[in-house]
Order: sequence, then C-alpha cells, then structure tokens
Amino acid sequence: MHESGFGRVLGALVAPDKTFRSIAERPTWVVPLILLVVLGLSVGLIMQRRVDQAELIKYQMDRMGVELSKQQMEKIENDAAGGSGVRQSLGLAFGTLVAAAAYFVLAAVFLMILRLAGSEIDFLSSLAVTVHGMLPLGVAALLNIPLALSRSEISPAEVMSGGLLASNLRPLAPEGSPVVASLLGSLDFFAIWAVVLLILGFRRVARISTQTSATIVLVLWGLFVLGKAGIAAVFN
Amino acid sequence: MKKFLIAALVVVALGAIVLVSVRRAGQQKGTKVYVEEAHREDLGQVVKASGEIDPRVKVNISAHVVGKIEKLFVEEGDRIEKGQPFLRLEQQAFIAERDRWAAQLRRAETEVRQSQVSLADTRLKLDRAQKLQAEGILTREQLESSQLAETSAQLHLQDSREAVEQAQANLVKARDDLSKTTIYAPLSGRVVKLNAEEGEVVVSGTMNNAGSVIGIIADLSEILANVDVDETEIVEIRQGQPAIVRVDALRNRTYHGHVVEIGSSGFNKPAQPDVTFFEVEILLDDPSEDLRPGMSLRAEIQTRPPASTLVVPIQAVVQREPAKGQQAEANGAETEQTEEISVVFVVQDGKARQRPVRTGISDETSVEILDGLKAGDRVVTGPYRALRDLRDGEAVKISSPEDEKKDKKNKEDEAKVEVD
Repeated sequence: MHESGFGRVLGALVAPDKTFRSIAERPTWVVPLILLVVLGLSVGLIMQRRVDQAELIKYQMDRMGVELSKQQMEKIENDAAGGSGVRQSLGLAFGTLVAAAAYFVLAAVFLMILRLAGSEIDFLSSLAVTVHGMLPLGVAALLNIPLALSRSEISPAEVMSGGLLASNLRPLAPEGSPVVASLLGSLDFFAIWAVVLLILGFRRVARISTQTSATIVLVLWGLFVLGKAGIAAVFN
Repeated sequence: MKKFLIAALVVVALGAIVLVSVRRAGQQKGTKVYVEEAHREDLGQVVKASGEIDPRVKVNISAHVVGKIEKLFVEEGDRIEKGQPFLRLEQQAFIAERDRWAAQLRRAETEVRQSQVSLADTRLKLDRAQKLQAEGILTREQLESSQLAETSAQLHLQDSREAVEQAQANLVKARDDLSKTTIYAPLSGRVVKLNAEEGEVVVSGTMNNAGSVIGIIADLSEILANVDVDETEIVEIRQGQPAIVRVDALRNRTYHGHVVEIGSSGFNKPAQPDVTFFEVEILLDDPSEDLRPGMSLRAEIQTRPPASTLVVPIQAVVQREPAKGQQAEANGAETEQTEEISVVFVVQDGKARQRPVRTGISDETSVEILDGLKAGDRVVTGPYRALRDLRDGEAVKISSPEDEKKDKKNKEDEAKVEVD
C-alpha cells in the first residue's frame, strides 16, 4: 500500500508515519502533485463559472483601493461577457504552472532550512514530503467540489475567501476586525492537518528530531499566517 | 489505541466540517429574489411627450416693398400695441415716385382737355365741310378728309382719357407703396423676434420666404405647449384631455393645460427617421411671464384618470414561453404555444411559480394587472439577473436589496483578510 503512488497518497492521510518511512527510502512526488494541482484547479474552475466575472474583477479592484471609471467598468463587463475559450485555456495553463511551481518553491524553502538545521535531505525528498504533507488541502478541495456544484451562484467574497467549507474559526471573528479574522481563518482544520503531516514527514525523511521538524514547519506556517494578516491590515 | 483515537478524531472533525458546510450550502440554495405584494393603487394613464413653448397667436412681420430700414421703433422683447409703428423704411424714392405719377396725371389731364378742344374744332370743320359740299363748293374728297380728322380727334381724346386712368392707377400704387414704408403692429403683443437692424435692406416676401421675416409679434396671453406624440400613443389623445407641462428652464414650475388640437398628419424627425410623430397642441391654463417661445418642455397628457387598480412593479412582468398547461392567449390574442407571453413569478412554498397575466395601463413604476393575479400575491421583482433567468418551479430565497448590501458587506469584511 505504501509503495505505489496512489497508495502513498491514501497512506499519508490515514497512516502517515508508515508512509513517510517508505518515502524516506524511495521518494515519489508526481501523483500527489498532480492530484493537488488538478483538484485545486477544478475547484477554481467550478467556482469561476458560478461567480460574476465582472463583479469579481470590480471586487478585487475595490479591495486594492483602485477606483474604476465608468468606461473601465464597462470595458470589464464587456471583456467578462466576451471571454474567449482561448483566453480561458491560457488562464488554465498558467494556473496549472503557478500551482505546480508553488509546491516546488515551498519544497526548496524547506530544503534550504533543513540543510541549515544539519539535515542531509535532498530536493526530491523535500518535494515528496511537501506534496504528501499538503494532501489535506486536496481533501479540502475534494469536499469543496460538490459544495460548489450545488450552488447556482457564488459571491466574489466567497471566491476570494478560498472555499465554501466551514473548516476554520473565521466566523468567530468580531465584525470589522480583518486581522483577527485573518488569524482565525488560518486556524483551519485542513491547514493544521497539513502542518502535522509536514512535521511527521520531515522528521522521518530528513531524519531530524520532532522538535526541530515542528519548529521549522511551525515557524514557516506562522510567517505565512502573519503575512496574510499583514496584507489584510494593509488593505484595510 | 492512540492512533485509533487520532483517526477517530479526524473522521469526526471531517464529518462535522462536511455537515456544517452542507447545511450552510443548503441555506445558500435557491436564487435570491426580491418580492413585493400585488396591491391596489390609483393608477392613471399618461402619454409623455416633449416639445416647446409656442404662442397661440403670432404674426410674422414682413415688408411689402423693398427698402432700407430708416427707423426701428421697437426692440426684441418690447411690448407693442396694435396700430403702433413697428418700423419705417426710407421714403424719398417712394415720395418721388408718388410725385412723378401725380405730375404724370396732371399732364394726362391736360392732354385730355387739349384733345377735347381738338375734337370740337374738327367737328366744327366737318359741319362746315358738309354744308359746303352740299352746296357743291367742296369736293367729296375734301369732305371725307374732314370726317377723318374728326374721327382721329375722337380717338386721341379716348387715348388721352386712358392715359389719365393709367396715371391715376400708378399714383394710387405709388401712394400705397409710400404708405407701406411704415409698418404698424397688426396685433397687441410682444416682439419675440427681431431679425433686422436699422440701415439693413429688407426684401418683400411671402410666408414661404423665411428670409423676408423682419420680426415676430406674439400674443403671450395664450401660450401653447406644442408636443410631438409618438404614433403608437396618438390614438389615446383626445381634445380637452388635461395635461401637466414642465418647462426645462423653469424647474420649479408646473403648468396645467388641456389639449386643443391634434395633428392629423404625421412627420419624422431627422434624428428618428423611423418613428412617426404627430403634433399635439396643449393650451396652458396658467401661463406665466417667464415663458418664452422656444423653451423646451416635457408634457404628460392624462389619457385616463386615476382609478383604483391591481398593480405590480413594472419590472415584475417578463416575457416567457407559456409553462405547461398555461394558455398562450393570456395576452388576449390568439397566439402560438411557442410565442412568449407576459408572465409574473409568484413565490409559493419557496418556489417561483410562473403565472400568465394580462396587463393594462402602466406608469413609470407600476403596471396594471387585469387578469392572472390577486391582491396579496407575492411577485418576484428582482434582482434583474435573477429575474432574467428565473424558471417555473425554481427554488428561491426571499431577500431585499438592503439584505443583499448587508450580506455583501459582511462577506467582504470576512474575505478582505484572505488576500493570498
């Protein structure tokens, strides 16, 4: 079960320790990477078709503090109404590349920090742990798909918030506190699951202590969370 | 045991997330729509049209003779009474012409008297020649010569008399032309247009020659609102129907009037060559001094007085193909089943139900429902995007623009923190 690509995908979720032991011996990354990219893009596409594109662009501009003239608004609406298949295909290809590249970059960052921490892990092993550790995000995407399909319309705000799952503590944030909302939004079940898997994975594959692995992963995740909160503060 | 516990916790957490999310999605299900109840209200029918202010009586002032303006007695905007001088043209040439014909007349009259004398003389000579010829003193040829001289004198007298008549006629015309060098106001009113200045030469003209109009005098005690009514609405217009007139330049004033004349032949405007309009004249009951000819206006002619009718917001009535079992002739006309008919969507048990309706008159916001609804029915009025795509039996969620705004703001507040 822990030797095949698909077996490792399932194994990382239900029996992570055994799976990461297996990955340490023979790292693989193609299947989980494809799954993560495909599931992520599928959710994106489904949501994209259920959101008013012109509204979405206007919403994004509004959040960035860009005031649009009447002519610009009309152009956006016309462009959104006349979006060609070629343009959508190009967008899809670009999205695929960016999503895949993001995992490579993250794996490289982990590699660099782990090497500094004295590990002898190589890039492919780091990538294998990264994509297997991130699989809970694939589960989240998988659960988002039927939810998105059941909706006839999705608001730009829901699209920008990342999904339709009630898996984080953001609803507990007081009204008008974007930074708190961002921090509570980061306390997401699937994100925490991924953090735990990454800690376990790097402990086994990089052959470091649980404390070191946890410190590295938690610090990086903490920076990511704080970065998001910082951006939320800047744009408000 | 520990692993089993963790796995169980993960499964429970996943289950809870899925349950909450599905429940939240369920709450989101159904197209958000705005609804309003069909209700009775006083609804009248009006025909709207635009046009301009025009005096009911106005006279174009033109010259009957060609000449240079010597004196203008009025300025644009002046009030003028009937019979008051409007302008005077230079008169020297006309006086000279009159005097010339007067002299010509006197000369012709002298000529007549001379001819009369000549005729009397030739008649005496003829009498004498006749006696002498009877006595055999004169030849016949000499007698005939005297007869011819008498006839010639008669003709000359006749010719002289005609010259007198001709001179008299010319004198009359010269005097008339001279009198026309001063133009008097043909009616009391206001000079609403003055096209000429002192020193300019005016030409005599007719109604068809716009360039010959020196000025316009209008009686501003009776003001018309001349409006152009679309051909599809002209059949609703009757003489005597009340109208409300709003003049663009006088924003705070509303004038009342009534239709006094309806054009019987249509015309097209250059800007709308495909639309035929008819001119309708509305006489203002309460004109004010502020009104000026040519001012733009908008008029509402009340073609049906307000009466209590069942109404819904105008945007609630949409065109759809008849739903299964619905009669296509809902609009009162026999139509094919595939033709679209007027329908409204009534919210019943969380679903939108398509109802064919027969509509009556409408105003800017409401439309009369003659058939197909009853007071209290909750009809879908928006949003436009939802109403455009709504289908019979579709699940709906009642909302309102205010709720939508609040909802949107909340979601924005939440999402603002999720900038990636």
